[in-house]
Amino acid sequence: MARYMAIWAVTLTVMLGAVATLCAIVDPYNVIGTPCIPGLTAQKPAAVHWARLSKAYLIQRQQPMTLILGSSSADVGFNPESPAWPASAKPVFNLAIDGAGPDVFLRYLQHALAATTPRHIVVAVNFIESLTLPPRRVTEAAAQPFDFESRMRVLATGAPNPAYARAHVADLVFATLSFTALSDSVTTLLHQHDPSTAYETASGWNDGGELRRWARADGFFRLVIDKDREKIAQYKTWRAQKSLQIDPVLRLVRLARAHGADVTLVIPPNYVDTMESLRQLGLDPDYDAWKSAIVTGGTAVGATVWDFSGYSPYTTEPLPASTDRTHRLRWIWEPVHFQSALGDVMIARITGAPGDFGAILTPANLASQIARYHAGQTNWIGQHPADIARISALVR
Amino acid sequence: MLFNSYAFIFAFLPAVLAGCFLLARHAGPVAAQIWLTAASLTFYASWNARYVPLLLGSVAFNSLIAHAMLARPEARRGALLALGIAVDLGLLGYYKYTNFFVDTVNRLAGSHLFVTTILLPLGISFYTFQQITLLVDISGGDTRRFRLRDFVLFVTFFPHLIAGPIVHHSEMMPQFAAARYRFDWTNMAVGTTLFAVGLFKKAVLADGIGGAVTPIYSDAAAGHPITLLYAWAAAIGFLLQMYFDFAGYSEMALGLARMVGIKLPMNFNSPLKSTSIIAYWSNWHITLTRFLTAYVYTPIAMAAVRRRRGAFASTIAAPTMITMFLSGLWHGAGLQYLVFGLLHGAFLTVNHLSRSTRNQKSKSFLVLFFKKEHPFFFLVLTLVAAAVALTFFHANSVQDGTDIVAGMAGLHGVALPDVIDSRLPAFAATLAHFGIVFAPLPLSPLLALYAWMLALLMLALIPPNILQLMYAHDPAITLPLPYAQDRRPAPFRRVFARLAWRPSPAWAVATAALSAGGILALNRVTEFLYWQF
Repeated sequence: MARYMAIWAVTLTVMLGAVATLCAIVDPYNVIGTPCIPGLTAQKPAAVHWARLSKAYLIQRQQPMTLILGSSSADVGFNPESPAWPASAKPVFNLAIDGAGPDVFLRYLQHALAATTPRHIVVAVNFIESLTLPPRRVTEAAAQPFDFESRMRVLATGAPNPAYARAHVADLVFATLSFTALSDSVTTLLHQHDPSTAYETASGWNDGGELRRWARADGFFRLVIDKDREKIAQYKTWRAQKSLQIDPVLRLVRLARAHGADVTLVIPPNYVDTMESLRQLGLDPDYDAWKSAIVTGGTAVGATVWDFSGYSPYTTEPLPASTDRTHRLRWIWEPVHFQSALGDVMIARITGAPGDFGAILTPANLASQIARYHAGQTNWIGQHPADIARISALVR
Repeated sequence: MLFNSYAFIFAFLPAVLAGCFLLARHAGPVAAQIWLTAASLTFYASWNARYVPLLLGSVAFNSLIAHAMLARPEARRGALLALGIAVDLGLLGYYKYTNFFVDTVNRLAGSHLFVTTILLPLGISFYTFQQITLLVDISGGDTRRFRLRDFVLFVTFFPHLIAGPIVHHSEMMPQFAAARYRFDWTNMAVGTTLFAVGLFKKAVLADGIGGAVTPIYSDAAAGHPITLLYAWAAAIGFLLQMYFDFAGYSEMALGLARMVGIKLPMNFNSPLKSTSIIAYWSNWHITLTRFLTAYVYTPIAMAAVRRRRGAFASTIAAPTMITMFLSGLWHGAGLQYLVFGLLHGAFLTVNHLSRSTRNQKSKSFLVLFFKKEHPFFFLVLTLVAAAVALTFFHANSVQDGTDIVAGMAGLHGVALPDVIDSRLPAFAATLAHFGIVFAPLPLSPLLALYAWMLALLMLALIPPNILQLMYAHDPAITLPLPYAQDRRPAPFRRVFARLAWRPSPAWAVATAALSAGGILALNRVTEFLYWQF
């Protein structure tokens, strides 16, 4: 029996030691801070799905000059390594969080400001994220809610978070001694050179590999239509009660300004399907009202508001036929997510490059810009009866 | 502190074992026994120290009553027994049922009675019942003496304190009195193996499927209709989760006790292999069945027999329904637990009735059907019946449980993830003809849940359980039949019949792998399902 126990103890120690060593070297969620080995551990696919955990630790090891906040559209669309960023804005870190709303952006900014001193804050604000929607079915969610609050260095009040130290220890154990970390470490090693796997870079960018894979498998038509369906259902749900959440955006701007950073609020480009869906659902006035609230509120607290949302060549790319799986859209993945190529154009514009895509909105030019938006709408409607019928079928 | 926590495995347990063995060696078994009692109280206090006085008060009270009864002749112990049971049940009733009672009165009478929310002391249902058995047995003359320190450890012993097995004083106190509490390689090897298997069942298997099952019950609680595939996953998935959770806990308890040389009774014996609900209850939470049979069912049935009421209704149906009603009430303070108990009461009664038809000479279809052996049919029927009843156990209310059962019957339709519609439009169109709808549901969690269910069903239905594997090494006080003699249906019987645990290098490596698996799954620490009793 003594031999049995000795073999058990040695085997158990070796097994756990091997798992811990592998996970510590690979560091699949960036929790430990192990230096990346190019070609072996540099690309972190698991960190994409654990972005709330990963970015909470990753940001503390950086000193970005520019910080990007937002949801998945900013996460995928704004590449911190893009050559479009001027030298004065670098280094850039993408702290955008998939599936988050302005209240979560605010908490991550508070967390980042407790450890870093960025000078420029770029925040992507989407209409859909400002809508107060009823909670979804738990079984509809692809992932369970993640307790990010305990990973924040400060509480919402700004006081130090007493739960942080304990959560950090728990995360270190999780990242080295868990099935999940073991599985994700192996995935990390196996998918370093797989273009169809989404990964998170050291500067927090999600390269959009998952969207690329779906586009390749199903074609852009299916990708766009599926997202249209999902968003139209959400708009319909919201239409019944209409409640907007603007305040966290304004609080976020005030906080950044109080820390000496300038803030750029970016209204990202909407694909034409989104704009047409809103119109057919009778939500155009609500969209205009939201934009007005962002502009008047945002500028009042010192933010610059860039609007890329109108009808432009970037947002009105013709959709390929439903049977065409090879044609690739150039600027967008689907109505919510724009490609980093379009992100580069936007970065260039907000950092001073000339062009006619997007405009700075102010209370003074708001009415004329909204009128311009609707003029573009009228023009597009007259020329695209087939697209209107397609979207109408989805709205019905 | 949970058995499946880093604090328990890497700090509490090593410290308790080291202290116990050192004291046993240098200061004797009494010191070690006192150490184990102190450790058990520390374990209890780690949950909520405010309830330690309640536990100790209950032990002191029952000890006083027991000693007072022993000082009197048997014929004059009735009043003290009544007092002891009344105080024990009163305490249990206050902590467990006050809120439920007030809520029910308010709901039925439209009144607005208010009592503050009373936190249920951990393990109160277990330690109350265990102490009542001692009082009842002293009253009947079955127990003539006991030692206080054995009694205190019998009630508070940390391996079974929180969630059983429900131990009987006659099987525990003699062990505590005789134990040397010395380090022993055999005890450590058997105990470690049992603990590793239990930890793996709980942390990897039960929690693994639990993460997928719980969201469905959350949706039901939020008022969302549960469609067919999800309803079946909720019912069968929770049955499997509960089995691996509770059986895992029981095996961890057996292992922990064995490490210090104490054996606990078997609590699970592959119950999902049962081909009748009677057999199911003989193999599921065995110590509860044993308690209810001895102290509730048998006295009621015997009273009916004594009154010469020999009919099925009074000697079997009524005692069964009353026993299972009380079982439901014991399991939780909520109408859904009563439904759980009464459903099992009804299932058991029907099962008894079907057995009685075997002796009839009628040639009706039903009688002929029950006379024949249909093991697969009855195994599936038993599984489904147990799953339906457990749905109410997990549900937040009778309404939620009913909704899920309605979903199992197809009353909420069939919904599939819309990715099927996207990828396989022709197939989806065919399905749509049958009323199947496509909704924005993620496909992979649903597939993963069904894969988990299939894997766990195979594990529950085919191989021998750990007590059968370790049969030759007395892992528990009571043991199942060896696998080779177990006549329940199981494929690959010949293959598994050769398997038996022995202290070989292969088993050591396998146990280490299970231990590592359990430890690697600890990061998603969850409570045991039988925790709040």
